[in-house]
Amino acid sequence: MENFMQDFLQYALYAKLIIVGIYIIHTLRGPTIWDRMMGLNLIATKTIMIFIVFSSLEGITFLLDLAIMFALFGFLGTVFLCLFLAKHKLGRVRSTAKSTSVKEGSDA
Amino acid sequence: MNFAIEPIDISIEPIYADIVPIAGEIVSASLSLHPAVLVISNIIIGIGLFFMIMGAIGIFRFDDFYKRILLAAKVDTVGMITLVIGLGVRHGAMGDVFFTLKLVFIVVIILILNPLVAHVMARSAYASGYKLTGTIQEADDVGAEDETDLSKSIM
Repeated sequence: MENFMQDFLQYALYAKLIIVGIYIIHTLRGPTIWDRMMGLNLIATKTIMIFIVFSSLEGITFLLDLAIMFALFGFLGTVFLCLFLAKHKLGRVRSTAKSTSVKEGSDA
Repeated sequence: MNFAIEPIDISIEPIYADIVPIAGEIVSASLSLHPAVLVISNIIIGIGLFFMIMGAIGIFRFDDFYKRILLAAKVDTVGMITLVIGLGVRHGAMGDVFFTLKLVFIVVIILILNPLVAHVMARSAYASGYKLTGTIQEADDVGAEDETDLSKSIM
């Protein structure tokens, strides 16, 4: 039990890596382009968490600065990609196809 | 003739030793942590892990983008807050104030940026014509009318 408590951060790191795998599946499979964008944002946040846990495990403090940089640049990238997609209306065709398929599924 | 290279003394004086903590010190300090502190921090981190696993399952169970973005905005923030509180308890008990203050700085940034990103994504999806699906059918017509104005206001 003491060993489990000492090594709990490592198990938390492995669990976060498994969750990142689930989000990668969602990003590749997502029906609309917005789902892929949301998956990218979730993976970016999970990367920051992995940075924090790893820096606490290894005692490397400057990895936290890299985590701050990841947060800021991930925010900038997501915002400008969203502005680009909204300006050129790239999510329109897929979204209408998806909404009709959902309505048919709920009727059947 | 002796060509053997003399071993150079490469031991550098640790200039930043009082600023940047060395790895060995922290590892030795974590072994001397009080077990109650360890249990408390592990329980807090475990709560965050539970939330994140539930979120990863729930993303596959919801069928609409707006439900998924509502879920994703909350799960990530809760996971980050619990992780930072747990690690802050652990490193605060070690006396590592530098690490704890950096963690607090990161959680302040995440608390500002994460809901903002979710709002930007949902708003740009609505402005580019992603219809609201659900029991309220009038929302579709309202969205179709406001579509052009909202996309202009975003730009």
